[in-house]
Amino acid sequence: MRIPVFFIAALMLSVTEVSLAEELFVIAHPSVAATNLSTDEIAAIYLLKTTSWQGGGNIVPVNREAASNTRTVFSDAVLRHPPSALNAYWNQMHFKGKVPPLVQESDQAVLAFVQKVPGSIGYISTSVSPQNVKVLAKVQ
Amino acid sequence: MMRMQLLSKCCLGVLLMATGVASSWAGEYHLGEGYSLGNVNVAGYINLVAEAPHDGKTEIIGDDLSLFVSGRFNRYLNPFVEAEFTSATLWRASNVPLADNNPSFVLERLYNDSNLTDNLTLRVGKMLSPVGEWNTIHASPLVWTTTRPMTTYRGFPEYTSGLALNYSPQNTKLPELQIFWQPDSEIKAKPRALVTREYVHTEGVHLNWPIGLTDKVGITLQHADVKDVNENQTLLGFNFRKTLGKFQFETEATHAHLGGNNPVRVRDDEWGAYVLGGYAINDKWSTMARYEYFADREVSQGSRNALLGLVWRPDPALVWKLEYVKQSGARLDIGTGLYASFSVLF
Repeated sequence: MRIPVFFIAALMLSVTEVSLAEELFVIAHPSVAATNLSTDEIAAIYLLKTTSWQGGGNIVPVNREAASNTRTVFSDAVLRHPPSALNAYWNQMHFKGKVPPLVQESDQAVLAFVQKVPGSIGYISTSVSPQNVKVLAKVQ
Repeated sequence: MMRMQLLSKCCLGVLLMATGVASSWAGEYHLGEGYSLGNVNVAGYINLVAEAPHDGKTEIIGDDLSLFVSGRFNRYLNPFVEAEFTSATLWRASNVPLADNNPSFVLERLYNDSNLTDNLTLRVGKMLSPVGEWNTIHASPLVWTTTRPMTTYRGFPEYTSGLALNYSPQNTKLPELQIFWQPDSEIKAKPRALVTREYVHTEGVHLNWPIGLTDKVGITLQHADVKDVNENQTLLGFNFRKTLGKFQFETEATHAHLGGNNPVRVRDDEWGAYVLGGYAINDKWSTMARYEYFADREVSQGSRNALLGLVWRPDPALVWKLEYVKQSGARLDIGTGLYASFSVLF
């Protein structure tokens, strides 16, 4: 019995590593005028430095829950700060009156939210089809 | 009675704002992140404090029950309100529980932000004065210690009721700039028992250079008149925070030159400074030490306090703090003893 358990554990670890290395689509509501965004521009949005779209309209950034691997990939690739520092930063900004990114707990929930809410921006795994949204970037 | 009426009006206002946008969308609720209902976000924090000073009574205090609501409706209409119940003595040694429970209602902030450009915001209403950093993020879950350094509140107006122009450049090498002005008295001033003194006619400027996500260097220049006393002050402030791996260092200092003929004053220069070092043992546990000196304008002897403490953060929104303070010199707001708190950002 020990060998199958070992193989299952090894398989789970490899799956985790694959998911940590996943690529992400950065998506926005179809009404957003922007056609692509650089990593720095996306970071400025999630760090609440850019709060409105070029041409007007509030930006509504969407994040994944803290335990999500997708969020870890996004934070490493785009925001480039450890989770604890980002939490402290968003908590401070919230108290100062700037609302942190909203949280949705799955790729499907992020996709559905961005499809529905004008001005919203989010990120999903490239394994999910980005239907009825605008893809602004691909990050890894 | 007046407090209850005001609270009712605030609640009604929040309710009306919330119901006005309820049809649009709602976010999922997570502890510490508030709840978003369309363009309105509702959040707050609770802070329970246990104090055991050597020269005072052991108490458990509901220090803060704070609620803040913000709205983002368009470029020019972005209101924010924060109100709280504070200083509720829940238990005192040798007394009946809740026997002297008499919390104060405080309107902390009430303002609107208008985004004049992408980088320039006009704020109108009652806001926290940007003197140093602690005053602008003073919520218990966001700061290191249960006892607040006197340097961060005792010698200047914590609030500005008037106008502020905030410049926040995209280029992070440039400083953020805040210019603020209060033409008269404070809107819904804090109860007299909760403040050292009241101020009128304040104006100032704060420059802040970000040197990391939450690290920064800031300087402040502020002028204010003390209410009902022939006294005015010009304050120079400095704040600095730097994170190096698991270490974090922060300091704030203020120096106020005092004018006018206040007979109670014993010195013309009031000043204070604290230094704090924190070390993250792991993701949840931290330890810290602090030292502060404060030379109060009305007390001839300076006041010193040294602190050792432990922080446990089982979740980013939950914080337990335990600290021992050794005070010497003049006894002002912080006495020798043991202090602990539990706070929740919700």
